[in-house]
Amino acid sequence: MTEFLSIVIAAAVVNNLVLVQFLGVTAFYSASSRLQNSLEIALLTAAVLVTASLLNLLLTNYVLSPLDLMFLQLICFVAVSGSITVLILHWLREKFPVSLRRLHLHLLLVGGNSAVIGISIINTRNGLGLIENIANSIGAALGFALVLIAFAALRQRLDTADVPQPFRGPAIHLISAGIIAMCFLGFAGLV
Amino acid sequence: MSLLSLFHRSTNRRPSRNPGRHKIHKIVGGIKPAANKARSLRSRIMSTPIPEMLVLPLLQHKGTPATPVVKPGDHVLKGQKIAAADPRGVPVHAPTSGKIIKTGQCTLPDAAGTLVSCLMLASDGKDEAIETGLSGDFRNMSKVDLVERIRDAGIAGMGGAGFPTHLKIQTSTASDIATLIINAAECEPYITADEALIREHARDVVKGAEILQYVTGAQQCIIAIEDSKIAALAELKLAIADSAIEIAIVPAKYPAGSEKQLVQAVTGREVPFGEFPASIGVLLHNTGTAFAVYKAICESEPSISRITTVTGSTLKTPKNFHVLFGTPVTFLLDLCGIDRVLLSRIVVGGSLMGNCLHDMDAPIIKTTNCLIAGSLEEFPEPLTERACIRCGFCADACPVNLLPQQLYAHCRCQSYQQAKDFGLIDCIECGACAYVCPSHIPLVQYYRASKSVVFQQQTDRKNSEKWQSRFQFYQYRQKRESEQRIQARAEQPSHPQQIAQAVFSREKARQEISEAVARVKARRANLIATSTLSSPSLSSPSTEPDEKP
Amino acid sequence: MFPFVNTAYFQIPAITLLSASILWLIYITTRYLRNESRQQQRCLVDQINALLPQTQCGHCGHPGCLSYARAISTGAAINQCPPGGQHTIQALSDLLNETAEPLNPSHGNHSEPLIARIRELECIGCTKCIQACPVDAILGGTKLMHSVIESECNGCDLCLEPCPVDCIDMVPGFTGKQWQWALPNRSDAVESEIGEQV
Repeated sequence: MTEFLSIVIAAAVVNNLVLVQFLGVTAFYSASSRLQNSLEIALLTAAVLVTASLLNLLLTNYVLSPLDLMFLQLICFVAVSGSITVLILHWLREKFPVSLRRLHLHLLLVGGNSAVIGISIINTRNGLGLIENIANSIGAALGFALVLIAFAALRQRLDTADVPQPFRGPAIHLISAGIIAMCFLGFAGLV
Repeated sequence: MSLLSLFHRSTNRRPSRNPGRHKIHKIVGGIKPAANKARSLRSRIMSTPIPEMLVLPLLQHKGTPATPVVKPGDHVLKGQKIAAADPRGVPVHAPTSGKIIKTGQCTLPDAAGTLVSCLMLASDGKDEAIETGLSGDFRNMSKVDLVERIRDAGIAGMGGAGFPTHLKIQTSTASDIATLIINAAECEPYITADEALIREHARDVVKGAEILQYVTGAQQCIIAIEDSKIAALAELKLAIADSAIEIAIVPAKYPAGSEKQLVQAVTGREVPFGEFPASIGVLLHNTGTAFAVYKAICESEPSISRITTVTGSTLKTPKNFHVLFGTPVTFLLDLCGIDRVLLSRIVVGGSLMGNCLHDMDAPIIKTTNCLIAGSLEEFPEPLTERACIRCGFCADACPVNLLPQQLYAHCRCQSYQQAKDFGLIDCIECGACAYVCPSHIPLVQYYRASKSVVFQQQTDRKNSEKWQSRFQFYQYRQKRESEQRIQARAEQPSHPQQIAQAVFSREKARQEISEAVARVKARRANLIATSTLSSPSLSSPSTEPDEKP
Repeated sequence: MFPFVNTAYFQIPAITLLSASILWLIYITTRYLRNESRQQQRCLVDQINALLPQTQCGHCGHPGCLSYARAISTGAAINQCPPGGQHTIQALSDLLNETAEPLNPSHGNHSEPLIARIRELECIGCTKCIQACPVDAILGGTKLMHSVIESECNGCDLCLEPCPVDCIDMVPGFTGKQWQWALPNRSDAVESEIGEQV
């Protein structure tokens, strides 16, 4: 149990997807403009991440490895996560009419999220077992959601702050993200 | 306690628990600016000489304008009604006797400089009053009668908002009023009108408060006054000696006299957002309003004058005046010996919530409680606005417990929804936050501008809804008309024989019409020919015997 | 960890079951919330329509505000409405969680509210403007004088085109526009001690 939890925490903060490993930064930046938006993307990504990493583990261990098709790993991962995203977005179309105005954008943001694919690759590379895999993906999803929502709130504050003209907009957002990334380095050695 | 009794040589030393005193609750925030009240209180209230020309706006308060009942050239007497209003407004009375010169337009001394129609009255100096009926004890009159008399006397709230008093009483009698508070806590610097009124006419004010208590059916009546107004407090204590009214002494902090803050201080209850104090059973009236009610009911004098403080460092003799409505501002300033060279700006109202006056000929209206003729030293140019340093002094000073820092950030970026979420509409625009800001940010200006935009958006939203419903009716009407057209076309005869018959009958009708027209023409010609020969009394051609119908 | 867990016999069915159950959970959640979401979908078009100024002028390229609202709900740009102005774009962006673009100038500029006024002396009573007005703000009949009810006119200027004698003007009107306080002018006021723009 403690190992499970320690993997979850390690994946969430110590090896945070966005701020430490710099995966999924596009999704992180474009989805965190509003709090509502970021909540939806975080939930979507969490669902896709967990499911996709499980299916990818299955795929790698019992299809790609035995058949010596490891070079197809990336394509297969993208295909799996893409199809799961399509499925979930189709179901959620009615639930979130406002944000799913831009369905194709969300498809890319969530399905093509390098965080989703990255987790699967990390799991494969580290040769994790099933339980560790689950723990890792849950932790990664939690960490992604945490940073996304926190950054959405931060951007609201930044937009009303007195920022010098050359720095307004994406410049100050990225600088703030960088400063927070440095803060997250403080978690190193925690677990 | 002991300090007050030093001024009361005639009374015994009171015990520390004063039975006429009311418990005060703490209010948050507030500031203690320099009061600047001493200069205008040095002398007694002075009555102004009657000015030559009085300008009487027909809309002196919030509501609908009154319609004149006199025409230019009419001679009017003091106290005569010269403009009548609908039940939601108050009438206008002539402050002195004279002749109505004309109806025109004038600017009100408010922030917008609104142009309203007005009546110009040239005084004849005689000051003849109209004959009024004798007034009896108000307790013998019915409440409805009293409210009608208050309305007829043209009384509107004199504290600044100018809401018609009879409307306030009527809406409050719908809900149970437990407490009537007379607001004598003039907390804003420079204004001393209410204090001077109490110093000289405390008994009349108390009488007016009793009338208001009787009319509104309030269980208790409290006069709230600041602890710094020592002489007024002494007079008030003498005046309430034989009545059931209590005094509440609030600490001298700005803005203790603001409506919701005073309710909180005296009763300890907060007025909910977007509602009036009547919803929690409290009613407030200004001291000047109570005095006007007394004058109207007990002395049958309508609302034709008020006490106005005229002060400022450019005046030789600042004092409180008993002015007639319609007196131009320049007249009052000249009475006080104004130094126009030093004059930088004229502020109507107090130094924190007043607005600048641009038109010096604007008349004194029911809500003008103070005029400050300031020099540049007194009212310096605003300092440069600097960046917000997030010190939080503004949040400490806010009496409504808002976050001025957040409001400022959102108002500056024009994100009005978020400003509303932080309570923009709750802001009473008291100016305490701007007063304490070390960066000299004009916070209240930002809030006022944003509120204007928000209210404009609300009006736009209402208009949109109206147009949407009209458009929907338009679409329904189009559909209905096209259906009717289709139905009418379906009922029309399409068989050739039927059409031929219809055409035929139309031809026949046309023929008959032309025959009838020819007959009428011939008859008329005949009539003209015969009337020149025989008697002209022939009127109807049908009496002609040789005409066939 | 557990040695049995890492065998194929456990993993294949376990993962399939787990993924299937996660997907099924998401599926039933969306189905369970279906009614509420249908209402939300309908409400979205109404919510967007409520923010539009309802002038039915057609400047956005759609025949009426409801049609533009429907287009927005399926992905059209939100900066096409000139009578709405920037505040409508801001309100739409708040509702739809999108960035507020500046008004598209190709559809016209945002001006102060105007109303139509007919020069009655030149009017010939053809009723073409009455038929064009989407809010029935013109009073009149065939061969009788036409007049605009100013309190109902929304300034859409759809009546200008059909008029054969061109006797309608657009004048600034009081459509409930109140006096407004001005925002403090900050751009030239704020300077730091070293004289640079902050």
